[in-house]
This record gives sequence, structure tokens and C-alpha cells, in this order.
Amino acid sequence: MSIDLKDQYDKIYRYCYLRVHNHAIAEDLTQETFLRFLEHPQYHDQTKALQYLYTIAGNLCIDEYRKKPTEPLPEEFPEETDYEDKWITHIALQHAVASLTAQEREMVLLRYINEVPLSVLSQLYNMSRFALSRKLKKILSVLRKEFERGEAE
Amino acid sequence: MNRKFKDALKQAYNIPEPSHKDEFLQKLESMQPEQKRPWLPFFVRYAAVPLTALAFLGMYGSYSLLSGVKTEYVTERPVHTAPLYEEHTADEEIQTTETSAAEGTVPEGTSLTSESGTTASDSTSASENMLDVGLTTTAPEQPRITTAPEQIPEQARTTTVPEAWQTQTKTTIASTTRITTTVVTRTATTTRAAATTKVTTTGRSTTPQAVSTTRQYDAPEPVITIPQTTTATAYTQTFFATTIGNQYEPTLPDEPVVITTTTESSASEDEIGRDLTVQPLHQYSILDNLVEGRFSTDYAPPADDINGLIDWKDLEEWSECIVSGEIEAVYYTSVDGKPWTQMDILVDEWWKGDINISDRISVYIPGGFMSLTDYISENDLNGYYDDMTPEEIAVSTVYEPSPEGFEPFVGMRYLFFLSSGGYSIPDGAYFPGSIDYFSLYRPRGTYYSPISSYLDVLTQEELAEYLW
Repeated sequence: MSIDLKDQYDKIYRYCYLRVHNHAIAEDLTQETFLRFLEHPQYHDQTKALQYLYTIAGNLCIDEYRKKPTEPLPEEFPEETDYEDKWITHIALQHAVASLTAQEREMVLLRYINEVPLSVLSQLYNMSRFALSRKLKKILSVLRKEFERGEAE
Repeated sequence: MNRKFKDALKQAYNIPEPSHKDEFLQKLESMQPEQKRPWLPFFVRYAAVPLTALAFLGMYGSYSLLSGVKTEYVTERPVHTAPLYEEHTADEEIQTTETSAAEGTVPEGTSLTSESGTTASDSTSASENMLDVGLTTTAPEQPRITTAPEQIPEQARTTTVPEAWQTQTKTTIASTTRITTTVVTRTATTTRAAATTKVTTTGRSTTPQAVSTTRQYDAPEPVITIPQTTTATAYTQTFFATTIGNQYEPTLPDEPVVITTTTESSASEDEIGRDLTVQPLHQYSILDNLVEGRFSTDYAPPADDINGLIDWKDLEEWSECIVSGEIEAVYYTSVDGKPWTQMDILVDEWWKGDINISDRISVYIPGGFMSLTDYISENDLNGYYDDMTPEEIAVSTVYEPSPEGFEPFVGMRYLFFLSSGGYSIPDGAYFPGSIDYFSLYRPRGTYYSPISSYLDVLTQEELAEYLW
């Protein structure tokens, strides 16, 4: 097994959190992912360990959606982000991230924050590396523009 | 992507930190028991092989005893004492065979044929002299010559060859013998001509007393250095390509369209075949004990914006050199205390940069092997390998894998998108911009595929479109 589980814990947790938007559930799913990964030695293939890890996490998140009962919408929506509590320097960038589709957000997180190699991402999304690269570059250029705009302001 | 942008991006996702990480990881470690191998499968696995071999040998021995088969083994190799050939200078005039015979001993109907090359000069006279030889018949239609041994004078029984050729031709004739001797003489007059002389003497006796020894010597091809007189500046490449839209399927085109593209390298004659390789600062061999490195080989690209570099145009613009070539040598070395690997490449195709076809260059990639002693001292890792004794450390090699698990081997061929500068690699060496971003391609028939990925391919048509 070539991957470091301590390093991967945070990354898998981020991935789960992005999908379930709940801190406790995301942490549970992360731990469940590692337990399942370690239970099966066939997942410990050096070249595919990371891919297996994300696949297990993704499947657990999907299972979580299915388990979750439909909840009625609250009458009053809370404000999306409390800017007073959190010191966020790049509000424009956050808005730009929020305006991405769920899949695009996930891709950017995996590629640029979790630093998942393109070869693994292309397997996860069943896309050509070239297509994936072009897509990521396009998204990144939009985000960079927003970031630079925020910097200028 | 710079660090600031990356941090801002991370912050924009607004993901809280996990709260039970340490607790879970501690439990995870305690849950993993040390795996003990059961002794029975271990014994069966390692004992089965010699037992099977012994059983097989026993069966074979029994069969040999019962059937009475006696095996004879050749214990010594035959030794050839005669030299196979001798060195000759290219302009040397070569005389091959001189045979003298006493007058009046040449039987009627005997003739000698000498074949000479177009450049032969003096050999003609030599062959004329050899008309005296009474033992040679080459025309198949001529009647066979049968010569009684007593009719052949002693001088004619031995054929001698000048010492320069060290040719040993000895014919001992007894009883009724038919001998055919063919002498082919060619004299090398120019430095380019290959001097080849073949002396063949064959003999077949009708009685067991006849002994014939035949040896054949070929003159070695003279090594000639021919200066380049033609200007090799144009390189033509033919690509097979077909339209396959945006799909990158690794399939051969059904009806290939031949696209011929010609480029002219700016190299002059003396610039072809330059040795641009560099000497590695350190060179390590792989010692007995192999340990894993403490650093991950996260391959930070040299250019700040390389993470956004996906587009072919960008890649082409960013790359200083685009060449393909075969790996001629691989050295394990270190850069800034980390293991790196140097590959010496013989360039066989060129698209961009100040490198020419037939040049040799050095390409550095992160990851490889280095001695553990240097690894510890250069990275200040005292205490990290406390579980090892100093003796063990001295005979240990540390290994850090290259990104994407790329391992270079001599003889493999790649398409390289190269850059120089950055890191602390020796001046004059190159490195692929980012392995993760398709800087290394493996040629597979009519297309190239990036290392460790079979999903994406780059056809020759695309290569021509993007790079020309």
C-alpha cells in the first residue's frame, strides 16, 4: 500500500463533506471508507489504491443520499455564509465556486485541493485525460479571474 | 497555480476540519494485528519445489538404470588454435597463393582458374604464374582428374600462402584423390573497397589414408571514416492519420491519409550528433537493503502557472524542446538531497528546440535511488532511521518512486516535452515539464500515449497539427 492514510484522511473527508454537507456524516463516511478499504486486501494495489479509496467514498455518499429521508424545506432560509464570523478574503472567489455545478466543484476540489492525479480523476469520471484537462483549465481560468478581481479590490 | 491562489480556493470551499481524525487513526493502528503466517502453508510452499525436483530426478535415475541408457557429457569445449583472421591495412596488396611445381609434372587437361575483382591489378599475373599448378580444376564440365600420388612431386603436394594472410592450407594426398582448388584474389586499391580473399581447397579421397585440411579466411572489413559530404538538413516524416473527431480512441485509422511534412533543421553539419549529455553529480548503485524514502515525490512543476497548463498550444509554447528518442543510459543520482534519475537520450526525431537529430542529451526526472547515508545527512533526518544500525544504514539504498510510477529503462523510446532551468539539475540537462501533464509519451504504433494512461492518445495527425 503506497498511500499514506493519515494524509488521505483529510482529503477523503473533504470529498465526503462536499457531497453530504454535514460534518458528522462526512466524518462517519470517511472512517467507513477507510475501514472498508483496509478490510479488503485486493484494494491495496499500489497503482489503484487512491482510485479505490475515492470510489468507496463516492459509493458510501450515494448510499447516504438513499438512506436520507426527504425533509421539508424550512420556512426561513439561513444566510449562506456568515461573513462576520469567518474571515474570508476572497468573497468573489467563493461566489464563483458556488456558481459551479456540483460536478465541477467536485473536480476542482479533487484536482487542486486534494491533488488527485489526473490519471485517477479520469478513471473516476470516466473521461479522457485530455477532456478532463481542458474542462479543468476552463474552470480554473474563471476562478482565477475572480481571484484576481478580488485581489485588485 | 501559486500557493496564495490555492489557499484562497481551499478557503472558498469552506470545509470544516475533521474532529475525530487522530482518535480514529489511533484506533485503526491498534486494530491492525500483526499478521502471522501459519507454518503449514509456509512449509508447503517452500518445501514443495525441492521435493518435486527430487522426485523428478529419482524417476529419471530409475528410468536410466532400467533402460541401460548411458549418458555421455561433453565436459570440454573444443579449442581452436588457429587465428580466425589477421588484421590488414586497407591499401595492402594481397597475394594469396603461390604454388610451385616441377616442370613436366603437370598432367594434361589440368588448368587453373583465377577470379579477380574489378580492382585487381597484380593478382592477374599471380594467377598466370599459377598455371603451373598441377592440381586445380574448376570447370565442372571438365573431366575429373585423378592423380596417383607418385605422379605428384613433393613440391606440388603442399600449397603455401604468404604469411601476411596466415593462411594454412595443407593437403596431403594419398592414393586416388580428387582435389579442387579455387583461388579468388581481389586487391584493395581504394580505402573504401573491401578486401576479401577466399582460399578454398577441398579434397575428397577415395581411400581412408587421404587427409585433406581446409581452412577459409576472410579479410576483415577495413574500418573507414567517411566524412559527411552531403548536407543532411532536411528531414522528412510521413504520418498516417485519419479524422476521428474529438474521440481519442487508440485505434488505427481504417483508411490512412498520408500527410508528408518536411522541416529543415537549422543545424549545420558539424552540429549533428553532438554529445550534450552531462555528468551526474553523484552516481549511486542499488545496495543490498532497500528502504522507502520519507518524502513524497510531489512533483511541483517549475513554472508557477503550470497547473493550468493543459492546452497543447501552451504545452508547446512552454516546452523548450520537443524531441523523441531512445534511452541509452540510466543513472541514479540526487538533486538537492533527493533521489533523481538521469536518462541519456539519443534523439531520433525533432520538433522544436536547439537539439538536433542524433544528438545525445540528458533528461532528469525526480525519484530513483540514492544511498541512505547521503539521504540522511543531506536532509537532516537524524533520528528517522533509529531502528537501523549504522552498519545497516551503510548498506542501504533509499527509494522514492517517480510521479506516475514512471521507471526508465535502457532501450525504451519516448516523446519528450522538455525544459531546462529550475531545480538544481546540472547545466545543460533537461527535464520533462510535468509528468502529470503529459510531458512523456510512449510511441505505440501510429499514436503516442502518455505514460501510465491508456485512455488518452495523441495521434500523429494531432502531433502534426499541434506542433508544426
